[in-house]
Amino acid sequence: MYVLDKSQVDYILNDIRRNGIETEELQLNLLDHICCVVENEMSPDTSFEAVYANVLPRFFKHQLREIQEETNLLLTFKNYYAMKKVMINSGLFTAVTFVVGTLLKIGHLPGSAILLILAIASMSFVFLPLFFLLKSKEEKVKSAKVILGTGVVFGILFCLSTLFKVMHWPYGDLMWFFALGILFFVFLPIFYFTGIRKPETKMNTILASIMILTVGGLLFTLTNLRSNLNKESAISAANLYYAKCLDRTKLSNTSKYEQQNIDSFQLKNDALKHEVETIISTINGVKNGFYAYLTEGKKISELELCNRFNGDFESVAAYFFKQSKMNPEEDKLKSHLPILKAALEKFKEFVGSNYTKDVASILDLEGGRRLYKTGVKNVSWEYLYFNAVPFEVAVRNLNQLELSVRIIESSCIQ
Amino acid sequence: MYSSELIKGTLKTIILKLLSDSDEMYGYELTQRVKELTGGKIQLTEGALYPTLHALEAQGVLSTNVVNVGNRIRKYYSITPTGKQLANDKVNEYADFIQTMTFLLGLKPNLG
Repeated sequence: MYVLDKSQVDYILNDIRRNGIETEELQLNLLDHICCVVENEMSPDTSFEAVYANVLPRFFKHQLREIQEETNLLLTFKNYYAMKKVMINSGLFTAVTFVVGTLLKIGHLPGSAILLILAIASMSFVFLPLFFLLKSKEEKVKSAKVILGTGVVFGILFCLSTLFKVMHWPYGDLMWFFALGILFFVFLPIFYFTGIRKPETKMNTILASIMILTVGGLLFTLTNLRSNLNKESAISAANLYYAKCLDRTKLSNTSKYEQQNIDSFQLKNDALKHEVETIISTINGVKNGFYAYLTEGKKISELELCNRFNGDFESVAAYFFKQSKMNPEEDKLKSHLPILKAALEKFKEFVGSNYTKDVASILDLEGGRRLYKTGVKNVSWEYLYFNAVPFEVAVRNLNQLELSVRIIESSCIQ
Repeated sequence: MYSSELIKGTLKTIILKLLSDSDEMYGYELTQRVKELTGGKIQLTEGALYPTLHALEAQGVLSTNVVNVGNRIRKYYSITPTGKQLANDKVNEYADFIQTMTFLLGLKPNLG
């Protein structure tokens, strides 16, 4: 049998390469195959070139490259199935962890955070990118690929921004805005204007666009434009609560005083009333002094003050304390709190000697322990309630004092 | 000779069955064996054979062994254990398919 020499083999190999067979393994396979056929068909009276020219066209319909393309297709198909499997599994994983995570979150049970993070991560980093890769291969038109791409980018950003917002991580709001921006200004226009051009997709495009606009608009209404809105409403709710409690206790105390007809009790009640008025005017004096200090004498409502000085530590420290020159870290009390404390001690003593010693539990003027950067320290009452606290906490503590006094009064009226 | 459409659906089954019946074979040998066994009625085209061989190799169904033959390299294909199982499944599936087609196309009187 005829055996091809090295130059003939090289000639065939170069020809295979020239005809678009890129994979080395495929080149070697085809080379051996062609050589076998050529060697079989060679006879003493035929030339190598003629036989080769006759054999090669049997390997393809149009051109040799077809074999390379078919191989590529089959090899990517293998990946295609693997990717599809991973996509479906990640989708299922996302769905299950998301549902369980949400249920745990609603029930305030542990483990919700980690499940939500896993769900959103698998959705954003596995499912959606694979979805884009697989679907974009199926789409033949470029505009459809662009729509798919922007849609997936929106989806990933939306998922991540939701996660960041739920976990109170930074930049959540920024991502949320960015996601909605992509939806309204990139995805929707491309989707709408490509869809309405074709008569067969016109109606569906209009309907889908309306749905997207509605859902996107609903999501936009959830956007927190003023991040401190919740804090403000919480403070005003707390203020309202104290004001209501104070009003009610004051009213019920007044009616209790009025119901008293026995003269011997009348005297005692009058004394109590007097003591209460004194202490409350002292508390209010401190409070009003504090407000006047902050507003520099201008008239501003308590709620507006709360909004303006919310989270302000410095103004509280400036009113109640002065910084020691010797040791800047150690604040010294100004006279406001010692006067208030002395008045409160006097009131406690009055109630203790005339009524009950139990007032201590309601009006606690003892100090406590506070966690400092350097460790836990024992601090006095003034420091515990009025040092290193923001404005709203200082006001709450003053309001709480007033309410405690009213409650003690209520239990003492005879 | 049968149409390429008919052969396309059975190509994997043919390759797997032939390789599971022998130790190892190379591409040209496979085409010749099929031609010989079918009396030339089935001829595997190279354009379909090699892409399928490469895909089966990538799936881990086939393993390869490279041998120097004269001035060129020859790639021998042999079947892996997982490939053997797949070959069995494919042959059984095809046998079932033939039965169904026989019934469907009325090639045999329906006695049931």
